[in-house]
Amino acid sequence: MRRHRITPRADFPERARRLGFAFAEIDGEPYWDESAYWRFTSAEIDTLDDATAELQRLCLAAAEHAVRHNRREILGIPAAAWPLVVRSYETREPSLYGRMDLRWDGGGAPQLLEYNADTPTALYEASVVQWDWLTSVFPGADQFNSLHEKLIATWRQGAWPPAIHFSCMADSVEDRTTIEYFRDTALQAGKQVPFVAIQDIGWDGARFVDLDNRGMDACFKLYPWEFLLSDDFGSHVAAAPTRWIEPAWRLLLSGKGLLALLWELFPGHPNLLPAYREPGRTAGAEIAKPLFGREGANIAAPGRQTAGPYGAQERVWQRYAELPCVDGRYPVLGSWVIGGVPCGLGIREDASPITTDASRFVPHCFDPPGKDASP
Amino acid sequence: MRATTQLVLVLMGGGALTAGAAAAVESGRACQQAQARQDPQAAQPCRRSAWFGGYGYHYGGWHGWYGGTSTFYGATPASGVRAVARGGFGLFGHMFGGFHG
Repeated sequence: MRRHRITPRADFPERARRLGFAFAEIDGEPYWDESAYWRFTSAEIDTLDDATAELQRLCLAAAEHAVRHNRREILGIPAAAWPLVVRSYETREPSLYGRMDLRWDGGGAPQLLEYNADTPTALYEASVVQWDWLTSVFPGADQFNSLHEKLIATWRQGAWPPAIHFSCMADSVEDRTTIEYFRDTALQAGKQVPFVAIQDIGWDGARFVDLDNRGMDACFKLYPWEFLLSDDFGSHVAAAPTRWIEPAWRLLLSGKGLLALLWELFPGHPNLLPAYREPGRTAGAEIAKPLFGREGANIAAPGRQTAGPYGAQERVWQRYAELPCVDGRYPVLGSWVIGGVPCGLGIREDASPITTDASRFVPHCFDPPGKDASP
Repeated sequence: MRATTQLVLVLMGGGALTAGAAAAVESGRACQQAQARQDPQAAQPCRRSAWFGGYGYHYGGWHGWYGGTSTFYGATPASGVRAVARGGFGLFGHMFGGFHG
């Protein structure tokens, strides 16, 4: 696992335009950064694959435990939402995707920092833009990336109705691009894929409807469950027939309370870091995370604290394991799970050990088995 | 790890904000910017615009799930026509500004 500097492709702007990648820069700063890349060995990719599969197993076991033993409080899920979460779990509502953020430097076991199990993004760039980079820069190498194929296959296999609405905040280019990519994969799987902005969803007294007043049998929402249930229409969600993607039971995994529950259930597991709902129990330096914070907001780590809107939330204290630092950059490995199966990797780097919405996406490749990983 | 695929992106359609959504965006952004400046006017929690029905929301907390009530608007429902309420989703997304995992 090595970071290499490289000259960016001169035609990248044209390629980005052709791919519809409209947020290669965000607020005037680079987001997609191909001035460097990470190169892995095949064995290292296998390690990440195996760790992700193992963590997925642990997470599903934790979800089962939480439902069976009513562990709502450690997860920080409000009592009013719990019946919906349990019902969603008991009826086995299908899940499409998630992204585990891992800390790893190529040695030892990758460790789970958090599981973005509700509305993970950076998928489009991991699946499409990164693949385009590989085929044009290192066509002889490989990439941990079967995201596109797995998405289409999962749309086909999942027990969803023929028509799935897709919804997000309409004013975000990043969200809109991501949702269009999801629509594309579902379309290729034979689904009808109408779009409705989250603000435009209607309630007719019995069901959610789109702008044409068509009933929404299923809805892929790039909008967090805690927001969905907090909004005015949240009061209708439990009674509505709409099947949501991700389903409500993913709240069992998407909050940071999962980290404390995992450590309670699997103490000492090599892919986990000690974590508790109280400070001072990890026997070391700690990082405090809001239960439902995002994008590195309101994080308190040794010597560092970030601002944000989640300061009033309850927290989880996780043993602080600083990210490796190479060339002054701290990488987080985003390991994707589609249809329950590990199938891709996206790396984001920051100049700080805390990954935020300003962190840059850096592509990766690996050498097929038997080949050397040197540049 | 995978065969090369022919990606056919669906062209984005529309994209223009409704007047109501644009107003909500402005309302949320103005509130956030005021908070960022530590503007005394932002000492009070950011609140929904009247467009959303004036629901008071404590910025930074979301423990009041299921706490709101819907505000119907739009055409006056005629006899036999079911009224459709809109605008009941999206506020928290505006208030928080970003929410990516």
